[in-house]
Amino acid sequence: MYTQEKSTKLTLYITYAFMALLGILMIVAIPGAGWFFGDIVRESTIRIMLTAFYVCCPAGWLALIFIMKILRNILKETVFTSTTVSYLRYLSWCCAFVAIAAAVCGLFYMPLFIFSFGAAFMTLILRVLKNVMAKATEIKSENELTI
Amino acid sequence: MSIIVNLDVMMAKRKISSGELAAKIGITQANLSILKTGKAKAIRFSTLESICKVLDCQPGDILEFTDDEE
Repeated sequence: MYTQEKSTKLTLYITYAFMALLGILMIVAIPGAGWFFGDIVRESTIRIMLTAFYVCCPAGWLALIFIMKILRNILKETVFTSTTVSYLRYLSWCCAFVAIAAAVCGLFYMPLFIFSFGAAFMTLILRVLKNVMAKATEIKSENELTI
Repeated sequence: MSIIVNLDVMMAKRKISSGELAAKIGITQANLSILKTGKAKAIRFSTLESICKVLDCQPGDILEFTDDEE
């Protein structure tokens, strides 16, 4: 039966799966890119895409780690804390970094601007979520300190 | 904060311990400590009413306003 705890655990397992996938992609990206794109994409373009991917990888790892930490906090029932707000802020920074990196690479290969736009939009959503979470944390603290 | 809680002064006047007061007004000692140390952000009217009843005093005897800017 569906419970909130099971749902959070499922999200946590999906995060682990993404970590494994990112790890595998980091290993196979260079040898596999030529095979995957074949003759459709030029070698110089593949090089730009690979550069963008490897530049964005650390931010991706950090983002997954922060997601994992937020989910573990939810499981520990310590959601509305300043720590969670900080994690959300760092997550938005990771997305902002990806947006900037993709935009720079987009100067050499235009379609990467689409990724840049997506990451920038995600940054905006995460900023709003962070602001909502900060306000909720403040309200909770005020409620707890009402005697 | 510009609102000062003088609960400990009133408790000393009435010679009542924290444990006894907490039990009589129906809050935990931890919450009473938050109130006494000025860490509380708000106080419910029902709590204030209970305190005033037990200590036989007025809200003004417990709460005091001081202007921070002065």
